[in-house]
Amino acid sequence: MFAYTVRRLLHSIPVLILASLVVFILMQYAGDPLARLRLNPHVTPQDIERLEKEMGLDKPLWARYARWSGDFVRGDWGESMSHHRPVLELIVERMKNTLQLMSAALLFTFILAIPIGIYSAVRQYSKFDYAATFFSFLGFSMPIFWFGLILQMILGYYLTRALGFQLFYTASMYSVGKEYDLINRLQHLALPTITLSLAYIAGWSRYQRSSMLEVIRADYLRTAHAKGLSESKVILKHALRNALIPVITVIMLDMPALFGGAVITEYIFAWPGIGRLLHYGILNGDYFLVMGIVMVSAFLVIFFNLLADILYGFLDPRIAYK
Amino acid sequence: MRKFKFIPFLFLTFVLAVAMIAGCAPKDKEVVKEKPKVEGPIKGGSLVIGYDQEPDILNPFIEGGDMMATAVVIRPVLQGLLEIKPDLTYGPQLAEKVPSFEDGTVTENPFTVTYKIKDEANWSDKTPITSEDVKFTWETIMNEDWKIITQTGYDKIEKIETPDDKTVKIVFTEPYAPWKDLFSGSYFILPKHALEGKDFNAVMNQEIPFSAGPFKFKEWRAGDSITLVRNENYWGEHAYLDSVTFKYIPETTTQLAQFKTGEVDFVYPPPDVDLLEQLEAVPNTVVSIEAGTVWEHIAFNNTNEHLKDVRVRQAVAHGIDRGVIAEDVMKGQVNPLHSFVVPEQKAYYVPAWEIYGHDAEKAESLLKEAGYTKGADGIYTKAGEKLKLTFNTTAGNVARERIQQIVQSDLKKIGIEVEIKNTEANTYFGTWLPNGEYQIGQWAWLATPDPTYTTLFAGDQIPPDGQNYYCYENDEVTKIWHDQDVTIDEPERVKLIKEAQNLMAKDCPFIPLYQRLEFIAYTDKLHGPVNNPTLQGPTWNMGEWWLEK
Repeated sequence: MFAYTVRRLLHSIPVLILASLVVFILMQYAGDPLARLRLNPHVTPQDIERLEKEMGLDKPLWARYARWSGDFVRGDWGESMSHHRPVLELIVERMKNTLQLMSAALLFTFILAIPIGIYSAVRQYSKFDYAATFFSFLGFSMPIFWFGLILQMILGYYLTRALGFQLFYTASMYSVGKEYDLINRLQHLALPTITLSLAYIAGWSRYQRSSMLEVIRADYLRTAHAKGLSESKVILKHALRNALIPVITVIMLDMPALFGGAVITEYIFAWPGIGRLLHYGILNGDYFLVMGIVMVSAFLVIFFNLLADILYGFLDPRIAYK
Repeated sequence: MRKFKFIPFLFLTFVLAVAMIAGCAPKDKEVVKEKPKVEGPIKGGSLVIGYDQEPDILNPFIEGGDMMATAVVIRPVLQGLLEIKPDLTYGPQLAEKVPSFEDGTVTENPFTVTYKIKDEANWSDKTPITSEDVKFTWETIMNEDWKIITQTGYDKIEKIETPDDKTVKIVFTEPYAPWKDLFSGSYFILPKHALEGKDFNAVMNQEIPFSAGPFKFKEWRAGDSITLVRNENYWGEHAYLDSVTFKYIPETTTQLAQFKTGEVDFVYPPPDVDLLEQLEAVPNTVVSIEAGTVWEHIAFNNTNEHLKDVRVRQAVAHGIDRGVIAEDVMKGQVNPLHSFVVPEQKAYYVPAWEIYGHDAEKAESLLKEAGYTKGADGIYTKAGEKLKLTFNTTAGNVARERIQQIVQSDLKKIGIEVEIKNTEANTYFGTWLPNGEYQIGQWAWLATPDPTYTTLFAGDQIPPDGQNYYCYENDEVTKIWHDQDVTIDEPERVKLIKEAQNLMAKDCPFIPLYQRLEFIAYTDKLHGPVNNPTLQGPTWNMGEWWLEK
């Protein structure tokens, strides 16, 4: 097991290098940190040249990559060109906010998706199953952008008007002066959480349903029924445990988003998370910042993939890693 | 078999239920209530402003601090010697008055400007604001270690003398006509006692630990908001509001929703005409619209084989119906602009481009005069070359793309084929324009209160020497631009700038279209905001704002 883990980690190094190289090259075409200044009639080309030199933009691509990767390996993630602050500091600051939003969303998803999946499978082709299937596909295909704005209208604006007070806030993380108020925070969390969960609920419940269906038909379940066990015991104890194994993989592969954030949802709901930071970095050609976030995400993807594989070994005794 | 109890599908029923509640929500009761006359101004209250762009940094002097978002936040905190009023004139701020020839505070040989700083002016820590601070500000701008955005104008200062604490004598190496912009436009006066010996590239990026204005900086919650509070040690009239918070909401639709629910009291959205109607429909709201200082235009590459002939440029100008553009794209909220100087700059403005009325016949006769003949397909040709031009601008800008389509169909009618080819903004401004890789283009410039445009229009300013992306060369015009920059005598300078407009209109190196709108909307409980279409932004007089209880 240990040897397997080490081997997998070593395999990931070339992946990280490749990912960083590709993103670094792409970033050179994404944005220009001095774009705004070039439009200012009071900023002369001499000014631009002077600033390019100070920011190291006059050096060739390979030299900049060598410089960045060298520093990165040594733990210096550079300074954001737009925010003039250390990249690592920015990432940590935003990740805290993203973590709140994403854990709320994933928890909400988990609580809803798993039971829906189970019940759909147990009552296959029932009205509930058809409804769940229909809404899953609806959820899958719903554009997040549109759905978020609709929620703001309905649950934010119209509901407030109907109730006479504000139950759900339309955007941002807290109201001014209520930064540490838990209720206020939950009222702000509600809409982005629902928006984010929609696609996850649709996906996870489908996985849960199909893996459950497979297990339900297995012989050992028939045996369990024959022994006279109650249905809930059969389903929850014997079937669910086995049916969860493939679902764990799916959940693990969604985990990096927990830290990586959700660009669109954070943007619509003005959530000060890491997705918005990334979006801003890309638009402004802030390659130190983008590289930092991308490397964190890449590492998390690798890490959770590995974790999913290792968890498999624990959940399913038939699988062993050598 | 016992039935397996399932957990009800909470989420969906919830959404549906709420949708139903919303559906049968009662219509807004028409509150027929005489709005009582409010006694004011009242002290107290806090305001939340919704704004789409968060500043990168708060230091307006260094790279990254040139955003409007930065200006809007620091305007109530820092002050210049002069301030720019909404009508694009200068008024005194820290200075006692605007220096002039008449009272001898502006003199020639060598060109010298003398300011007197207000006696009562002091920093928030009660240290007086002195002439040393002005000198320190200049030295900071000229310091090569700092990532200063631009040194234009400041590099023409030979020395700054400080005969006493409140007198500043600025001696220039040569006459500099836009001198009022210095220490007033985008830069402010800095406190020497708080900044000397500190790293200016870092010291005021995340906070501004001092204030010269009615508000002072309180905190910045990254990604979320910036809060200013009243500066209790302000030397002038104290602000009425206790605090003002800028909430950063990038999505305009969300901003609107927040404004409607009252989560924010004031919005300053990106100028999108379609948003206006929606804002005006919000009850108890004041909406203020102004023609801004950012102006859109259609540019020609004057070295293009077709466009280098002035008659072809004039034909295009006659062929395009600018009235329709203002009416259709801008919903009639703007008038066509007839110069690169905006009408608000009253003294300098000449509607020079008025000579190009929409006239298809005249356009075609100009083309014929230039030696073109109409082909069977209705497109003019000359020496076997079809009169086909590429028109490009920044992709994704809806208004610009709509204008392109209008231009394309207008020009087709006079026998010019236009091909549209756009790219994203960075490539456009970073590569295409500086390298002259365009035939017809469209972008915007910013009019500053001082009408100097030397780097854009003088013949010796073609990239990489300047920003004359038009590659426009007219020796007479070039001379005027350089002359006016050193003409201190105001009436003489006005004459030169008017002459430049008339000459350039005849050459038609580009066609001005319209001024972009600036609008703000706020709850009618708030009193005092005056939309300022200049780069000062709407917070320029925030000290005078007050809220009804």
